[in-house]
Amino acid sequence: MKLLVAEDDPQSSAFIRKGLIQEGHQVDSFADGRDVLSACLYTPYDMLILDRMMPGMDGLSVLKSLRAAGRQLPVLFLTAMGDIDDRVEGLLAGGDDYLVKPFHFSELSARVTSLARRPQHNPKATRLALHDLELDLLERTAVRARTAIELQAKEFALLEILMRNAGRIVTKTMLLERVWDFTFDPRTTVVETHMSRLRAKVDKPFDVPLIHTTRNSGYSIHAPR
Amino acid sequence: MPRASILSGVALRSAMLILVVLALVMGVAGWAILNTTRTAMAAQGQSVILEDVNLLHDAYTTGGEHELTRFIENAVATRSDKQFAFGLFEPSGRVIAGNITRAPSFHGWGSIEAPTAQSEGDPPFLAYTEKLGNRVIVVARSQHTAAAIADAILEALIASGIVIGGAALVIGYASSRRVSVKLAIIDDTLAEVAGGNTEVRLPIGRSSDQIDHVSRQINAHLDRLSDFMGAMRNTIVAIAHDLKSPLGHAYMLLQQAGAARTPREAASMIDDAQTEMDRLSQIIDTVLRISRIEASNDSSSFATFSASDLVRDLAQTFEPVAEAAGQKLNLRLPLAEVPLFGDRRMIQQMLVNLIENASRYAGPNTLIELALEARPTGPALIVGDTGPGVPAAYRAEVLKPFFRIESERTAPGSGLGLALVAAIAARHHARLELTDNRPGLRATIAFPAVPVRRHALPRAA
Repeated sequence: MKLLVAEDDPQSSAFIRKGLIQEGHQVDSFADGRDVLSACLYTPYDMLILDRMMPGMDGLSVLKSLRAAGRQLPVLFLTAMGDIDDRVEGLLAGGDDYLVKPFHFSELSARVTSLARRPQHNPKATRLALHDLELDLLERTAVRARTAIELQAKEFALLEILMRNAGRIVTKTMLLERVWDFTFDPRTTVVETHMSRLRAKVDKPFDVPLIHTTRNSGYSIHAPR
Repeated sequence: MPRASILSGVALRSAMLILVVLALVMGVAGWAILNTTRTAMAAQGQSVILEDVNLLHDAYTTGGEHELTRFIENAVATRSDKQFAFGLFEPSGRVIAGNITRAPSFHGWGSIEAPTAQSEGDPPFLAYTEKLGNRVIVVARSQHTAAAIADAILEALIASGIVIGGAALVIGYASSRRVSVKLAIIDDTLAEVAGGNTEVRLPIGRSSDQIDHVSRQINAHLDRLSDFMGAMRNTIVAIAHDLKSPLGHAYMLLQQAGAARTPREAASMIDDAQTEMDRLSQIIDTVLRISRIEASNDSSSFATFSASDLVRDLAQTFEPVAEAAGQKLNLRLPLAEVPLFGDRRMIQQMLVNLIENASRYAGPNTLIELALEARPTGPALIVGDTGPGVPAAYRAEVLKPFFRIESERTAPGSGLGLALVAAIAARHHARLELTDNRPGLRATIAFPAVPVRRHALPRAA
């Protein structure tokens, strides 16, 4: 993918660039908000990773101008302004995702991947399938190897997000935001506990596990290779 | 005390204003009194003169000119008070009888300057002249008494004006001085506060006047200010202390990683260092969040939402977590949906903090209760546990940032969870109470009733 990183701190900018290039992306970066805006207007980027506090023009204004000009590229805010109000403001201005500094690179990477594929999956799809597992989003039912699996509402939501991102890592923070609408990190093992219950129902009774843990990164679901 | 500030004092300026108004009032009233007195005296003088004129007529009628002359001479001789003057003249002006030296040039009423030899220097006499037969009679009366009374009234008015005015100025100056002294003390005290000393207070007099009232208010503000500064100093020390410990751990782990024998060992230590840094970052985020919630008064994120849904959702989320910790989570809800007006995310975080606290400190084989009550005074959220609880003496303290009971010092946690709960409750004007759950701790957040706001609740179709 061709990505633009808008970040005025040279050290952070170099760290993000290096990581994304290693993952096979093409990366441009600018430190001034005005440069970011004009680059986005004239170059077709696949995604913008946007800091909020930048010289020249702040991130929020850059995004508003881009949306006003009809540019629909996905925008991920990457900023130290991490309060719920800041987050809501960023998403209302047209941001697609919001990640607060300091961050693990794996978290950024997972979000970039998830965001990039977003338009490809059909949000109107009523069924999701992977290997021998099938989810009916209207009936809220799960079937694996022709056996119905009884899932609690939170377990179903967890599985749905994993399946919508099949093959890609979904981090703990992403799950907290999307399943529980938590914009803070609870001190208890909410995600781990629910994930372990989900696995006990979806994987344990069957031969092949579908849900996988990546240490220090998150979870993913994929068919056996 | 600078004289200028006393002279410009409100009390003195009011006194001066009163003085000017008083002078005007007294001037007008004095003029009216004088005028009325003069008119009354003149009328009295005229009636006395007319009585004498009538007597002269009687004398003329009885005995002609001879009797008239005799009456006038008799009157001049017998009336010793020198208040009266009589004259009988030929039409040519020649004196026939009486003590008036010159015949006046008018007929009827008029006034004559010094009509007799003895009246030199006196005020003019009121006089009446008339032709009687072929003679001219003149009767005059001294105005001396009327003038003396008018002078006396004028003097009394001026004297009382001076006394009242002087008194007003003295009282004005004295109260202005008293006010100026108090204001100067307030001025000095506030200058000292501005200089950084928040311990000084204003003296309160026994008079309980308006300045004392204002001083009491200022003292109350200074009390709050110094409490706040003290709390801030403590918080800064606590923040510094609590931030340094994860920082210290991370520093130590990174040094160990540098000296690790295998890359695997190093990676594990770096992971642990990152976890410490995450903790540090979370503490900073929570401190910022608390201060932002406390400082803000903006309720644009407030809306009416279903508290029942929120509580049900959280029970579903934490029921497995409690079970994994060997606890049981009970949910208690009223049958009807309970609406709540507030920031849903804040209230969600508040409940999560309370549930997590209960789960962490209650220990295994305990019960955690999550309840929603629709009270007549408004909705109430309750999180209780059957753990060891918090001693009554600490229940107010545990709501302060970074406060941790000594026995819990080694347990994980930043001591910010309940401070955030308190800040969110205060932001919603809700009452947060920690009580004995017999056994355990019970936290109750009593919200005010949902305010009636247009469009707050969706209308029924």
